[in-house]
Amino acid sequence: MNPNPNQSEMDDLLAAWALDALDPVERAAIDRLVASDPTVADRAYEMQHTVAALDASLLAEPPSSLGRSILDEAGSRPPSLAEPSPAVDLLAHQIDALADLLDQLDPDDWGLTAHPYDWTVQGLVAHLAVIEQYTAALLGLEVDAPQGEDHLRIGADRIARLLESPPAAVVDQWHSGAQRIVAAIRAGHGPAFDTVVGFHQWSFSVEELLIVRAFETWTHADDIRRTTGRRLWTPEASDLRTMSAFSVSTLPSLMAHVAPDALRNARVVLTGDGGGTFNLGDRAVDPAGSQFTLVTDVVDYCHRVAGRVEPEALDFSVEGDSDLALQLLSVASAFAV
Amino acid sequence: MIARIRVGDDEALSAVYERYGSVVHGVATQLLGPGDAPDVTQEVFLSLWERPDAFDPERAGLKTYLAVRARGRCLDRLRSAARRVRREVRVTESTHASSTHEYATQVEDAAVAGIAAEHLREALSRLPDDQRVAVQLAYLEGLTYQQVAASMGAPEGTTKSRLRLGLARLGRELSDWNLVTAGEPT
Repeated sequence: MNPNPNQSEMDDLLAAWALDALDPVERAAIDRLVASDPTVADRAYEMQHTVAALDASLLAEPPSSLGRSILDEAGSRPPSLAEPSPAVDLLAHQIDALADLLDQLDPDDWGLTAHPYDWTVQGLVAHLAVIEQYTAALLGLEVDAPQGEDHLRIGADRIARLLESPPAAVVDQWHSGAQRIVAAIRAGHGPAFDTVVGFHQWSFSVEELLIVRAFETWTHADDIRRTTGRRLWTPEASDLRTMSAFSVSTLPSLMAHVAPDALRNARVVLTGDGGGTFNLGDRAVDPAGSQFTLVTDVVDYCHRVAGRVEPEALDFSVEGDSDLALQLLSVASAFAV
Repeated sequence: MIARIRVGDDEALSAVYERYGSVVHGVATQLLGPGDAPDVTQEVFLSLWERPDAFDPERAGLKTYLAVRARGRCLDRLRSAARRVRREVRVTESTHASSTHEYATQVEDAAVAGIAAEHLREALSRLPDDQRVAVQLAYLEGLTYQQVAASMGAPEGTTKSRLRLGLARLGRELSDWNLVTAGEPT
């Protein structure tokens, strides 16, 4: 192959490339050129389009059983998605991320109002410190804990006292409380993972409670990022997978009060790293029934679950009942606080 | 659809198959005949399922990508079979001069007989003879341009030009029939 082909020679080579009529050495050379030179790539893909059109002109219906066979085979080869983080690791990661963020704040940041709350940033961290005390009590790690059903009002007197302290002291109280929970769980102290505890008006297993705490920690960290003009942060795929899977798993019970049986043929597809495909019912039971598929980005969905995006503002697509989609997205934030 | 396939949504794979299965199977039938075409079709769609990130929507639409993959798999099989034939020829000291060409010709006979693509045949028939033969040997039989040149007794440079001119003319013809589209859904 001429190492310095003129344009006509290059076009000849690209035509042969598009037809897959180069020898392996030449093909590799043209592959590299196409990858590195946008002008060459444009011409190459134009020719490849023509070859594809030739291909398309040769339509031939495959055997009727082939589609089923492909899907069956695909079912036996599940995609390699991110492994879900264990709940305690998930919580630890979100605690670390918030601690890093708080470490970077400027003195003026602490007095900013942390939307969507009336608290300042310092007040929001004080709220988290109080909730860690409340959580520790649920796990049998704390005796002197605030009580109450209202997540936002619980420990108001403690928050007021913390607001009179320097920000660093508030951060210390929150961080040490959160880390104590993680350390205790990792050491095997506290109740078993499947023990059900009452978190305000809800009942969660201990494992679920850790996920909920991780979710809230991430959400408030993003609240602080928004307030202080920082870019939002996306957790690792494995962490997202744990949170998104848990959130989706709650949908059938949340929807049971709104539209029983509505999710019998429902599927939620969360795209992006950390997402997944979730069948909320068993489509095989009622394959002829009206099917419903909601598709959205996993991070956007988590923001919706956290109540930071309204259903109508979420970028999603739906196959099936669009009203059902809005209902589902509405109840998805039931645990948002 | 690719974003959905990436997270294991087999219904998205099914939708892509419904849309492009006949394209992939058509390419495979054309190049290999109806016997092996289903295997290649399955390989192409399972490859999409297992390695969806290999598809780059910046480079080509999904139809083009799948057709290219199908062609690649078919040509791999043809070349592998041709190598096998060559080995057998050497062992038996056969006098066949060009087993690759003969094998591919058999493939073409089987494949072309089954083509329902009047458009393509028409377009091919309108090409000048030297361009038509060159494109047929490269496209339908999977020969490299060096093999095409040897088969036609023409210089390699001339052969490459014939391929380019033939492809360009086919592109214009197919474009007239709206078979070449710029913006495919991905």
